[in-house]
Amino acid sequence: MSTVRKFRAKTRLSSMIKEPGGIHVSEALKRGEAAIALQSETSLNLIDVSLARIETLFADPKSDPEEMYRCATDIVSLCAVLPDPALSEVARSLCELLDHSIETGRLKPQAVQVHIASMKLLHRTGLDAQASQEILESLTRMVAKLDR
Amino acid sequence: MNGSARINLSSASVLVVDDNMQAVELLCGVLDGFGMRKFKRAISFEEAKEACTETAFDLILTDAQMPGVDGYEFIRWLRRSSDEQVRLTPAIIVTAHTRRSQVTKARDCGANFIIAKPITPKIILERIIWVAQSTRLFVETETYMGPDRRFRKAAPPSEYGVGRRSGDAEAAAAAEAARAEVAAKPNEQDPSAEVQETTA
Repeated sequence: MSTVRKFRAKTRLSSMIKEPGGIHVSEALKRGEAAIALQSETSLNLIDVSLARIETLFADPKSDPEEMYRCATDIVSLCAVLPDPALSEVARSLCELLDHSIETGRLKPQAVQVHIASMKLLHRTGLDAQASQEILESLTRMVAKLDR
Repeated sequence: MNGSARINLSSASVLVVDDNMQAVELLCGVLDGFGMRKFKRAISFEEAKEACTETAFDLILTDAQMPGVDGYEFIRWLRRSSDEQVRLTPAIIVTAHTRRSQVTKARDCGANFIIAKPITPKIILERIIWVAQSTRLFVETETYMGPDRRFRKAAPPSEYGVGRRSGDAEAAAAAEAARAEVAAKPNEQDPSAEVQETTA
């Protein structure tokens, strides 16, 4: 027998959000976008660093896949400054691949390599949305082929 | 979201937790844009825990993937705090990737929402408004403490209409039909209709 208690939790946030003053939602969103734009160059530079670190780790067969996983999650986080989601999708796909590799103890070097190549093609190369989409589709096909 | 609605978050105190400092700055920049002014930044569970013992925050945003104790465990710790105000703090998790082994942990940690990175101002603000205006019950059991995880429909809270996923419109229509069916049978009691203390 265990007790289940259900109750309504009244939070301060729920009262303060309705207080007089404040700003319009549309204005808040504009300011939020502007704040992200301000962080753009710093974030892009940090993506460079994480991408270079992933390449270095990949070149070292004794490297820890956990570290590569952390670098890939950093790239996903930093992609907040990019309007095109392609790079974050490849980085997340690399996270998925590495998570599976860590669980099974079997790393797929070719699959990691195509992810790194795709990220390099998508980062700071000024590709349009269609070209980015083609790279994503090629990556998906390649990963599916390597999974067979 | 209604763009012409007004929100006032100027007096809200927020804790932002992420081991990546640039991710912390991105999130704080966005929250600052929303009018929030009182921030506390933490880069680990230990720092976050200490901050929570010093200040009662109005909102917590934490990364999921942190070395050592992760964001899920932080929220689980928060929900078991002896201080009622701390225990009920609205908490949102942001995650770059959820490991397969952590799906259950994510579901059971007691967070109000889990958001996928990369962050966007629209999604962050939408979730903050949902959390602030949510009428979801809190559930406390031996193994779980947090907002009720059972949604009566697969769409966002009813006051926000249809969500962003392609299947949301269909799910909302199905839920509406189910509600109408329940309403047509007045003798069948809706178990989630009232706040209650029960023994299971």
